[in-house]
Amino acid sequence: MSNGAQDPRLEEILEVLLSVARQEFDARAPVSDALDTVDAIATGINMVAEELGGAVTSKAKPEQAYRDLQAMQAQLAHSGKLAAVGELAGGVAHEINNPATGVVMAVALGRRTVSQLRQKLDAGATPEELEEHFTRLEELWADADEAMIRIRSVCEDLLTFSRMDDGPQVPISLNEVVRASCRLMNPSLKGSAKLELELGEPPAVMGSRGRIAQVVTNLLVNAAQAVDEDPTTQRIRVMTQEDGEQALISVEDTGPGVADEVKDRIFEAFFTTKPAGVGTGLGLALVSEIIDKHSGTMTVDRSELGGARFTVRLPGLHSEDSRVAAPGRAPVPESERPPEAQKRPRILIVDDEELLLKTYRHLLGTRYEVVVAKDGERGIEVLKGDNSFDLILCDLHMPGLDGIGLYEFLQKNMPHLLSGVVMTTGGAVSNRARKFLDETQPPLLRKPFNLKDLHKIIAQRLER
Amino acid sequence: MLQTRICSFESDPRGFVRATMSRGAELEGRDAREALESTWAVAGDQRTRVLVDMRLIRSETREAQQEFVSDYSATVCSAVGILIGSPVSRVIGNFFLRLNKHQVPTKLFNDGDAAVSWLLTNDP
Ligand SMILES: Nc1ncnc2c1ncn2[C@@H]1O[C@H](COP(=O)(O)OP(=O)(O)O)[C@@H](O)[C@H]1O
Ligand SMILES: [Mg+2]
Repeated sequence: MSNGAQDPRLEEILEVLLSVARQEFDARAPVSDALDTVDAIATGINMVAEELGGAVTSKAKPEQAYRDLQAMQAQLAHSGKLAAVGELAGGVAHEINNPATGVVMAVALGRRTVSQLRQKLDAGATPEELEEHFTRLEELWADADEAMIRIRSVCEDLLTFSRMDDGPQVPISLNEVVRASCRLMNPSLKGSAKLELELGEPPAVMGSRGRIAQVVTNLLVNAAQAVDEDPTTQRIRVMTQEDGEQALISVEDTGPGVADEVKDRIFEAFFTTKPAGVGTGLGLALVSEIIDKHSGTMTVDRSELGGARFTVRLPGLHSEDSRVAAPGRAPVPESERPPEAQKRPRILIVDDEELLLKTYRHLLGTRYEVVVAKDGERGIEVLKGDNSFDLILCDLHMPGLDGIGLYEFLQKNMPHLLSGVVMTTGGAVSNRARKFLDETQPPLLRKPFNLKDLHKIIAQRLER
Repeated sequence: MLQTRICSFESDPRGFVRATMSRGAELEGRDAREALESTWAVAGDQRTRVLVDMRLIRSETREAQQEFVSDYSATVCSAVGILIGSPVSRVIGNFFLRLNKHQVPTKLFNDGDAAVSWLLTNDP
């Protein structure tokens, strides 16, 4: 079946590749019952097409983001903040342009590789002889994929921007981010400079991964634009290390360095010394804003390589984590508690994951009387009708009114229930949520949890 | 033993669930959900280690892959060993591993015995 140029499946696979190259992601190559190498190639291409298609049509697709941006412009213009609008719009274009260039390049190279494939195929090549081209295509798609993900995250950032929100904060390994950014940039640097990585052991930092990646990428782009294009003499060095309690990352180059007379201005929005079309003057403005948001600092000086050195310091996670938390809430006096239910203890469970609700009900239904609600609003509705619960198990992160919102509702309206609240969380914790957890110190169950943890924490709560 | 549209589930006395995908299985999002529910049920309503034999699988959608890295999946599975064999299952397995959100130990194997010994080194 898989016999070289005679295999009709290769033709079909090529068709799908060509349509992906045209950025049409609907076509799929057939996979036969043989499940052999040719089928595997078809599968790989199908999955990549599906990924790319998903990235493009996801909720954060660029057109939608653009419409949101327009709506936001109208709103901001209304309140007289025109300058902010221009800056924001320019910043978005800038951030989308870098990865978009990556996608366009990968697609163009993909086209070339496909036509080489076609030639070899016409010449009667065997699948083994085509292998190298397929590998190359896989790499290109992976690059395009990564760039698409960045575009998507910019769009998502834009949406969070519009809510003046910081987005999810997660522990980040700087080395990982540096490696990913360098991998993304390396192809476009190849002709101009040698990229060197010296990765130490910086502590993890708390923040938005996409944003930190933007910092690194912007510094790399600047370095690449500063050096003469000669990979034999020009170098760009990226270093990470631990610096006291901070994580440090530096990007330096063999270019001319930053001239003294512009040093004070380079972080301003729209300040550029580059010709129109090359520089927008927004890169460093964005970088410093992101670093500010992450409570970090940035300095610029001269590198021993001869050019500029940009150094970013971000607070390391351990220093932040060990901070002493605010005291917990006062216990609720006995008299304020509801009369003890004679029957089985009653539990209200609020979680937006329906399968989990089902599971909980299943698990706890025999011992307790379980009422479930799909989100914070529904939870409050239930409570308004009937607040005689012994325990409330509530997910921290839910669309709409989340666990914090529900907790605040209880504080205001049904404080006697507060001592029975157990929060659950699925990992990534936003700034707001972290602050909440620090301040109120509710019992916390981290997903995934097992049955034992669940019963234990419920029993503890019910005992009191 | 439990049989769904594309997969059969069996509890192994050594303490894991064996999920075997049928020949030519084309896995979609709802199949993935059903698979997780079935795993949970077969394990006696508790978290469990899972050996997934996907050697005969034909395709798996993006949606299905995402089900398998969800919070719910992490609640059902404590560790996942994936048996691959055919070139197609190798591609699908590797693609799956590339998804960055794995919350539980997940590993690919060509050999069933190796997969079982690894699974048993993980907590149930
Ligand atoms: N690595 C560098 N070497 C020399 N000058 C730099 C470097 N990085 C930034 N600059 C200076 O800072 C200015 C502002 O940079 P930036 O905000 O990224 O905008 P842009 O790159 O679009 O000009 C640049 O125009 C350049 O003059
Ligand atoms: Mg720049």
